[in-house]
Amino acid sequence: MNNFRSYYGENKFDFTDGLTLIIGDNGDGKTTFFDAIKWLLDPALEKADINFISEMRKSELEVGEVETVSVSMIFDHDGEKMIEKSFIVERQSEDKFITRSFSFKGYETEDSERFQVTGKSLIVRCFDSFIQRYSMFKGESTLNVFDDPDALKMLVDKLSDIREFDEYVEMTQEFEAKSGTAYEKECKNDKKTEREAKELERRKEDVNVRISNIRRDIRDTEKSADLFTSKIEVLEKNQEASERYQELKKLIESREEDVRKLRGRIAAQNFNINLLDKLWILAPFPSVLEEFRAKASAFSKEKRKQNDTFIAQKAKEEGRKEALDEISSLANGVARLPWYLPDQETMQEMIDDEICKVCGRPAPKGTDAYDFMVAKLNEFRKHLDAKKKAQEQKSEEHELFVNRYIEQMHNLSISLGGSKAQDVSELAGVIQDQLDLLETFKRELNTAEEKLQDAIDDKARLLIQVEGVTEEQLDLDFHNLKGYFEQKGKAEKKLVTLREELTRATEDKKEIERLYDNLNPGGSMAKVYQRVHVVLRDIAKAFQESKELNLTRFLNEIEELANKYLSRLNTGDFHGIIRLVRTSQDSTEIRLLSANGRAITDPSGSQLTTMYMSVLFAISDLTSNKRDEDYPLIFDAPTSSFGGMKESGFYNIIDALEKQCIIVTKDFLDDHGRIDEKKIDQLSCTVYRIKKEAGFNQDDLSTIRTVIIPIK
Amino acid sequence: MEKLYDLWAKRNPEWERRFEDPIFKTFADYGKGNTSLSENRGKVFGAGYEVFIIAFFIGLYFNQTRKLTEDKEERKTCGQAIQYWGNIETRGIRQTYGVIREYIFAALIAKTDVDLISLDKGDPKVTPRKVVDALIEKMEEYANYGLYYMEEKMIDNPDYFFRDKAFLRTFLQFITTEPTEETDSSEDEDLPEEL
Amino acid sequence: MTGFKTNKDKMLSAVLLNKHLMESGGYEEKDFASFDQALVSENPVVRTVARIIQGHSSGNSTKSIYNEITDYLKKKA
Repeated sequence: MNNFRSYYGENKFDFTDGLTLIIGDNGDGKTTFFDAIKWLLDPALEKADINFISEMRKSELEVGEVETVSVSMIFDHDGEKMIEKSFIVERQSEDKFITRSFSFKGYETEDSERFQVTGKSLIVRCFDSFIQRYSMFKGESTLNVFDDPDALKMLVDKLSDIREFDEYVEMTQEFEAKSGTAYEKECKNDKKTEREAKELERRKEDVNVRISNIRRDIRDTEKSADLFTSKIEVLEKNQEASERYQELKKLIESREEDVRKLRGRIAAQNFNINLLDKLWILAPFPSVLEEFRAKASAFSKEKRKQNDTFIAQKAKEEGRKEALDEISSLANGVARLPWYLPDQETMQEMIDDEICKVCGRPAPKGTDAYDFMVAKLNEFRKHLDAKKKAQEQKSEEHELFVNRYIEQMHNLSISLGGSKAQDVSELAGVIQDQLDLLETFKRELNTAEEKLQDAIDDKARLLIQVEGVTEEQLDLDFHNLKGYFEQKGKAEKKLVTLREELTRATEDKKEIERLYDNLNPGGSMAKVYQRVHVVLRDIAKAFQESKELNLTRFLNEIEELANKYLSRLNTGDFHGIIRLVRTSQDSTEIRLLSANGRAITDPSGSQLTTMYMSVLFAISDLTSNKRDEDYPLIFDAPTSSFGGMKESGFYNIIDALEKQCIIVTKDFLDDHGRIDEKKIDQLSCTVYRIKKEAGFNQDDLSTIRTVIIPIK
Repeated sequence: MEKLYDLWAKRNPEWERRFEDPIFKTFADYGKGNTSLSENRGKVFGAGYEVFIIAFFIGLYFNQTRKLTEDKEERKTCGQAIQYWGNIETRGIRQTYGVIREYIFAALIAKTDVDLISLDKGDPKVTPRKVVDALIEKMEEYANYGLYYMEEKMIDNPDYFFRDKAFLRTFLQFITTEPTEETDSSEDEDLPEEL
Repeated sequence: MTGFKTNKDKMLSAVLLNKHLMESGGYEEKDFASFDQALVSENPVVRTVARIIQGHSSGNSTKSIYNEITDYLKKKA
């Protein structure tokens, strides 16, 4: 490779008989290597491309200077041959480059004499498009050759024992039909068989219509069965994921519910409103309440005190007044006895005894003294009555307090005391409890939200894992699985019925043909046509059956070879069995089965890769057998899903396959692009390391140059 | 003889008009004829008197009063007499709390310099009306202090009372050993521990 | 048939070895020991199959092959 993209200057690889490994990191020139070979070998590309010149070389060109870009290959194919594609790039001005002198040359050597041919003719002869199709693979995803719907036909045609069966089958079927029509025509023209032939013709048309209708129905039904089968397959392949998805979905829903509940609980804690509705505002109130109660109590005490004093005072005042009254009632100015002297009993005694016991003189009835005593007793009685009355009046008219507001306060104080005061004094604790509870809810909410997020993350990871399957599919399809099975079941049932119908119709057709055969027309021409038709019909059938046999043999052959490779590539490891399953008339699928013949539903990336590569090696073997030539297999990064475990073993086996392989890969490199020397030591094949020359600037292509380091 | 409490409860205390927009209409559905529900429009409280009660207790617990403007034109009432305060319809998330009136009354009695002895003696200089006037005045002055307090807080931080549990926090400071004033700016998660 | 086999040879034996055809055609394996032999076989089936393969591999049109074999078969019949 000369100045081809990152391959600045002249670059050379030697490919050995077995495996040549080219190890490079991203951007080191792996794909450029592959692209260079593709460009060289594609006979359709006969044009220069300015983008192919090394940017580094391009930037160095002086105005007027030219450089050659070329890719060439020396190979052995019935003698040494060489092929070269090249063109010239010229710098015409600072920013103008032109290409010219494209050439595509081939060289052959015969009897040590070298002569030139066109590159195109040499490639078409030695490395035709069929070989290219089955020998160069870019990336892991191109390895399944049967992804191409034309692959089977092409491979059968190129590699099976017998070519061109399709054309013969088509042709002989045409002959059968044509001769049949001719015979039937003769029968209709034959007087003896005219009526029967016409009836048979009608029946034959009917049965043909029936058959073609049934075939169409079968095709449609097969299609729909296939559709549901593939839907079910996708689903079953993702069944685990789908179940996990459902689990996660439920989990997310329940955790969302938890979060919602907790948020609701937190929102229900309306602390501002509780100030009023739950009287939390009274939490600091106890001291005020105390103040109030003390004040109410003080007022109450004061009032009672004042009242007591007042009453006592008044009582005193009453007593004094009474005495004065008594004194003032004696008109003669003599200080009279207190009204209570002598007492009522003494006075009654004196009256009864008719003697004044005060002065000791007798006071018989009718005397002034007697009358005085009686008057005195009456006065005494009057006084008692008056005193009684006055006392009664006093208690009503002369209260100190006329209102009872203080008693209202006292009552309020009592009502706000007791259990109510207890409640108020406990409010601070209640609030604290509620705040604690809120904190608990908040912590629970945090946990619940974290858990929810975990579940959401799990779901996101799951969706990444099942790359290519949408969330909707995982969700909907799961519900649809039953429906799909039912639909598939229906379609399969219908297919059974249709195939039975087809068998019956085919039998009917055979019967009609038999009746045709037995018509025994009177005319000799009709008899001749009859025999011709029978022979051609038998021949057509023989071609058809031979074609089927050929195809079956071919697939068995690939299978057998592929399985040999598969077991070699997976020595000591479980590998399964490759089956090529015919999915319809002209296509097949590569399937991996376990030993008991059941499909391995979810093969790993490395299982799939070794399976596909085994089939490719098998195809390569058949090609070699068929052509007496070996062709190299070139793979660009085929093992990206291997995961490093069995790299060395895998490559050593390929090296030992006696098949020339070139594999470009970034295996054996660690994350920093360093090569794993230990693993390389275990390899027996040729190894190149390609890498960017140090000192490059990632943003400037003209600083990038691939260097080739032969390692072993 | 009508009870002093009933006389007081028939009254309708006043507050300064200047607080109507920034406080009453901001935190209550004041002036909307809605007395019960504060769920809508994100208002913290329902009727205007609820703001008044909050303000009153702020003043009460700080034990600070502030005289109202003399200008009668610059004063407003809560729209409902005290006797109806707290009689919230039980519909929605709210509960009635009419009992709070008794506590307010008790506080006013405790804090107001009234000569109940003279009142009970029927002293013409100390009539029930005059006593109730004094109680209402005290009530208004406590609330006025509270309103100024709220106004000041909102000047410092317009969001102050919109934050989580803001009003509760205001009252928690009266039952904590350490005033929460200084820690107001910190996260409210700190609050429970300070109780 | 021994030695190198062309596609024609292989096609001929594959078809003529068909059990049903052998039964209905009444021929044996020795009747098509070589392609050339089959082309001039007395057995109409052997000969017809050989002619079809020969005609197609020589690039003759379907129509001319049909005419050739039916003319022959008619005569034989």
